[in-house]
Amino acid sequence: MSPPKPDIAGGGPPHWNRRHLLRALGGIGLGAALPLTGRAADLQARIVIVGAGFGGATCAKYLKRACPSASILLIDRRDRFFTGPFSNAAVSGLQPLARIERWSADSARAHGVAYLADEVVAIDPVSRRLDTRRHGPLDADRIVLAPGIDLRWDVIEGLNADNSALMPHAWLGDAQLPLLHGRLAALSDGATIVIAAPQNPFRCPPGPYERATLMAWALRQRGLRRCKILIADAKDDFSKRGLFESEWARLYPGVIEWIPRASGGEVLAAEPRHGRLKLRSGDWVRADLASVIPPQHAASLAAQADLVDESGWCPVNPASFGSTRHAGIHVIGDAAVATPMPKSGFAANSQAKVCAAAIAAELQDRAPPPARLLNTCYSLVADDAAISVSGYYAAVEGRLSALSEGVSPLAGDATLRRQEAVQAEAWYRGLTTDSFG
Amino acid sequence: MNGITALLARLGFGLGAIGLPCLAMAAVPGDPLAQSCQSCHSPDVDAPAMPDLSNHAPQDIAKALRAARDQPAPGSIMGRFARGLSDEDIQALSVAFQPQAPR
Repeated sequence: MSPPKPDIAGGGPPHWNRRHLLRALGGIGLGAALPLTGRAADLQARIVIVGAGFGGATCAKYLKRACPSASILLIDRRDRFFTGPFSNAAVSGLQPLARIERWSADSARAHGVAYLADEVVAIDPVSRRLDTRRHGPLDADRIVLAPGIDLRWDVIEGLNADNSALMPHAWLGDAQLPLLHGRLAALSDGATIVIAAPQNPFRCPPGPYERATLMAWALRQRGLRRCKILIADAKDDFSKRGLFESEWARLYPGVIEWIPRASGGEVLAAEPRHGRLKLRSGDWVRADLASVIPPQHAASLAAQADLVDESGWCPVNPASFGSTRHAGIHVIGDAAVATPMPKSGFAANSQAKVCAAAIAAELQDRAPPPARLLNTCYSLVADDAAISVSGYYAAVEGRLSALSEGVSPLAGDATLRRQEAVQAEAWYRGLTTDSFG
Repeated sequence: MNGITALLARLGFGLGAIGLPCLAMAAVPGDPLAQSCQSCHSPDVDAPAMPDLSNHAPQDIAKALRAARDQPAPGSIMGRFARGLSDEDIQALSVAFQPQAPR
């Protein structure tokens, strides 16, 4: 993928301020031709979207469609990132890393919205003023927050942001992904891998188990038959568990061992420099490669903006994904409380569409369409086999409910799993193209 | 295009208003549910397992959704969604993917 061309901010003068930025934004839409009277003024609303992942990028696209005259600005501090979907395939070498890399400016350009490469450091949720690190304050009529998660460094003793690269979580779409890929590729036969899976709720519920499965696939591809993969879990159950366990028995017998919390599996402490992990059972285990995925909460910007409750996540009205704590601010994606939807890229994409439709309806003084959402997550279990979970959800009386859901048949044979691997490829292509262009 | 006319009326604009072209473009965005179907069923994918629905007649889409709901195929994920759809939902979805439908 080509590097991004200079964005609005990057191409502007170094002293670019809010006034310049808003003037630039006004020129991007059709705003100049609009009469500034009555309801038409609403169509020139300034909408700032924070975060260019699946939720934010999709929301920018559908807001632009529904409110073409609004000034829509997408902000992300990262110029590029790796997608969560297919990230375990990239770790295991089943997909090239370049396949899952996305540039924030490319998404904005594809969707016809303005992009600012900057970090939002604070939001005043009452005045809806955003403070950026390099471009000063921005005022917005509506804010869509799609900031994702932050990892909690106060739970596993001895592990912190500075030393976690020694036990790569690779959970944030950052440089730890290629790092984990390299560490896996360098293992020799007989190695022990430990994957630490966090407590609920967390981003990508099937992710730790797909990671173990595809690592087993990668080791087998290299002819390494004496390696062992332990999943040390802070939970006693996990997404698609029956399916994963049956695929482990079918494809990688004896390679993967899951240690639930009740059997002492939860990781309580780590010595990253020595590759050692202390489990709830009291045992210390030594790993040739550890991937420790810490517990999570909504990105800290959401907490700074007073949008989280005591759970550490952002409560929303599912009809619009509007914050229940502050008017005019919406939260979508992993940071939001959207139970029973999982924290997935597909869910964020679907929430973004409900959010965009609700914002457009409000600005245009219409009734919003019904909030109905979908999710599907495929997990690859080999290069030619996949399993999946799907659900159909709706906002009913202020609560999000599953209207129907299901997983792959437990008794599925190799042919069926192969069909799902083909579907997974199309699913990834469709979801990423819809979200990022 | 009743939706657009109704919207304009509610917005306080006659059909001759200067802002019409912009407002018309802004009018009646698509149903978020149909938009979520198109995360997979789009021209960008159009795979055998996930066809682009804008290529299919409404009656074929309705028939496929009813089949997914009432006799789901083991290799398809569609039954997991279709089980929650009423006949009215299926009727509305079947026309939502036509090229001229609101997106």
